Amino acid sequence: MTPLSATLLEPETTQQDVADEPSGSVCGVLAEFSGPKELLRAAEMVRDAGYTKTDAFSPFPIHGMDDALGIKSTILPVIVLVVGLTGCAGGLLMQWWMNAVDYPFLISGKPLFSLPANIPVTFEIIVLTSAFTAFLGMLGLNGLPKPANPLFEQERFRGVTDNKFFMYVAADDPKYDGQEVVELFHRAGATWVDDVPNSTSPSRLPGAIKMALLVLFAIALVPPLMIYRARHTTSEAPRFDFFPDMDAQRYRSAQQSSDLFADGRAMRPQVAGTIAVGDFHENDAFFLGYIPGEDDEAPADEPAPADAAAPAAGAPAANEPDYVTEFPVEVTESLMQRGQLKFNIYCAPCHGLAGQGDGLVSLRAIELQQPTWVPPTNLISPPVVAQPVGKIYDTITNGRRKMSGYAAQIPPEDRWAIVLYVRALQKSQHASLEEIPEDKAAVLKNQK
Amino acid sequence: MTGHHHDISFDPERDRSLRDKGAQYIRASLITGLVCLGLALVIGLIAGGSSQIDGIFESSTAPTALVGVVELVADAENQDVAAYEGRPISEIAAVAEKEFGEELPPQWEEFLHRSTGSGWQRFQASYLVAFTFVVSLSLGGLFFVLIQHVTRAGWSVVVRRIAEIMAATLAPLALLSLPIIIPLLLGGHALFEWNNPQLIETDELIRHKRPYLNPGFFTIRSIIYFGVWAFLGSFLLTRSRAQDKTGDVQLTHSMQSIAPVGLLAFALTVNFFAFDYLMSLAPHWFSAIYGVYYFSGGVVGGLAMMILACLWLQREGVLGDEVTTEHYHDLGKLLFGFNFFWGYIAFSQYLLIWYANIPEETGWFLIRQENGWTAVSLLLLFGHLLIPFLGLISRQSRRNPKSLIFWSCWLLVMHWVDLYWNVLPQFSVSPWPGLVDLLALVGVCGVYVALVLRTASQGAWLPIRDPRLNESLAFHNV
Repeated sequence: MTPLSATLLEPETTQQDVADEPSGSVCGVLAEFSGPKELLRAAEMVRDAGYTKTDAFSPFPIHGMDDALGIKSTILPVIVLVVGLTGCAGGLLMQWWMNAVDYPFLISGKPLFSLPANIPVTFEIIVLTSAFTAFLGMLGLNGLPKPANPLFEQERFRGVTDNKFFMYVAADDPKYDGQEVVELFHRAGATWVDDVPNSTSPSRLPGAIKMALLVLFAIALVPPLMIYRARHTTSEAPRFDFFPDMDAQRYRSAQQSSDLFADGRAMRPQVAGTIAVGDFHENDAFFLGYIPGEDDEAPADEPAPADAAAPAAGAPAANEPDYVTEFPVEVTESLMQRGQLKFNIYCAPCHGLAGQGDGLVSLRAIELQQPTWVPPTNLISPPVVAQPVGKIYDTITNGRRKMSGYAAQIPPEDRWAIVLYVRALQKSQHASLEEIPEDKAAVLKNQK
Repeated sequence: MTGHHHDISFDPERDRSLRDKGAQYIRASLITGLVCLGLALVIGLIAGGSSQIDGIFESSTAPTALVGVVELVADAENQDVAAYEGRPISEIAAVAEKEFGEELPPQWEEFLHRSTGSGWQRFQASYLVAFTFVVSLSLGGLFFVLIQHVTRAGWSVVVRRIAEIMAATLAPLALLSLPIIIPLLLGGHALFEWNNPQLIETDELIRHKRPYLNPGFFTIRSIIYFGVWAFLGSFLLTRSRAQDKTGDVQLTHSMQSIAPVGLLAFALTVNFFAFDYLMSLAPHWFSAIYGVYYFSGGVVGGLAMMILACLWLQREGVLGDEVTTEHYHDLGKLLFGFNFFWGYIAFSQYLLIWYANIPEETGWFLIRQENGWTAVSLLLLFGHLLIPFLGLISRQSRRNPKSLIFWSCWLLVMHWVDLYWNVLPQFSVSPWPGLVDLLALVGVCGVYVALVLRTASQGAWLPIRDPRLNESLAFHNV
């Protein structure tokens, strides 16, 4: 600045000499205006003069100030959109990886990866990433947090939260020329203009805060390190229970040892010659489906099939127990319906609703070409038709080949009910027209 | 926008009514509406029920029941299936009935119910779509007025009168429910199968729901719904209009004190209105969120209509520069937000049913996923939710009148498609709308516009002495 231009200024407004180098100890010029309209007008003038590193301060928001300062619309929405879309893709990818690739877990036949199920989590991740981006992006774009601001050290500037209006041009503006800015502010009607000296307080974060952040970060690393260690080492120590609940109790579980008894077993063997309550099954025909021979010897006489015309394939093999051939329960309509109900629940999934060995489980296993799958027996095939009822009962009770026993799930009465229904199914496929009631037969004849 | 506003010049004495043009418009839209409705009825009665067999053996989405029965009939008559191309389904049904009687699968009966309904049924269904469409627009208006008062909003004063007029139109709109209620009271069951005496006899669930789903109680409930809406709508409009003359602040207080209770009554009535008029079309089906679903679509439609009405009134010179870009921007934000809310609710309804996969619930979606209805379902997903979401996400798009007109029209169409998709699959196997649907829509909308303009009559389209008017005139999005 030349002395000549300095004399053009009114003496009382130049409170200190403007430095030749704007970058010296001055960080900008601050001017005060009498009201919002004056501030708005000044902002427009400063904008039109080509300054870009400017800011205006007022106790309340002034509409139109963004345009007056020439502030370009923020890029934040675009950033939020991009990060939100990334969150969307990331959320979908994460669920695909977790559910369909890394740990596939089939739940009631639903697809491992399907869009509807994954929308809620994806939606939440979009919201999470967008909200964080909007919040952190707002701070970042505004240069926050800012530990020191030279304006706050100006005594006069404090009135900005009350009733004062200020405008500021920073010294690092490419067009900055201290003297010209001062003149411009005066032309714009400023009531007070002054240089703002650089802040005396350090502009970097205090060491204590930095240290605290570092410690926090280090502490945050502890849980992942613990998890990493636990996953990659073995340990003999009992696991640590935060909430023991009733995990550890003084009674002994089955198969555990105990010092109390001489044999060291916690589980007690059944006392010889006794029967547990509820285990006394007097009627062998009813409970077993066969009459046990002496000393587990195979019965000498094979039970003759009731129907003499039964095919040879149904002939019982040797060493079979003495299966009962007559129902040991009373055969009634209600027993038949009970049998249908239980058959449809326990048997139909594999054997099919009509007992033809075409249940959904079996069809699915065949469709998937499961190598170990043994197709269930067709219950209405001649070999099964030829079986005595006791053998079918025994099959339900103890299982046969790959089929497991159902004694635990189905009580004996219901097992007999199922046998009865199986007999009905067999009959339904091998009946003659004469055995069918009149009215139903008419329908069949029509269909023919 | 120059960035800063000048002192607002507002002349309360200026005539802000449609003046003589109003009566002209009322006459034109009423005549158009009634003529179209009449045509819809006539065409419906003449051409209805003539669904034809149309390339079902080439299409992979052809109804299996139809394919099966045509094969049966062709077999019985020793003909090739191609010979049945183009023949009315009703004809096949008659042959099948004679040849096979009760042996036909139950799916066939259900298929027939949805494909060969009488023309009267189609007209009723189309009318119901159009009726629930216009009612939802007015409900959107009523909701808008109520939340402005609950939140004591200042920004919206200059556009509030439009919503008030839409809301007050709910009173005369009750008349349009008569073509639905009267046939029901006369024992008709073309629309609501729960009124079919044969089904009441045989269908246990329908019989069980009879204490609620019966014509008498349905009528009583309709009277309650429209009674509550008419009361709220006219209460708010008359108070607001009285303020035009007196400028009495007490009137604002009375509107504000009724608004919370009004919102509660609004929520309950809209919910049950949707249950009764739309959900009970499938009387076996139920969805607790259905009322919210109808409500959310209605708010989208109502806001779209407000934006279009406001721009139209400015073009007509009724409104001047009182309504600025800033107000349109805010209406656009609400439109954007509530449209996403609609998607949120629609998906919430779908997701739970999809996940649970229980037949009694999935049936409703199943018929919307076959025979081409899949395309309409996807049209809603993309056209109602995703495309407008991207279209309205930018600030510029919500501040640009042309863009707002485009998206408002788009969303109004989509809202109609939504209701069409809710109603018609219960009656029609084919997803294509017919002339009857379009005529019924134009007809009911014509009558609706006439009723809205009549409600507005000679009054001002802006609350000229509202205590928060200045705040609204100076409103600025930061």
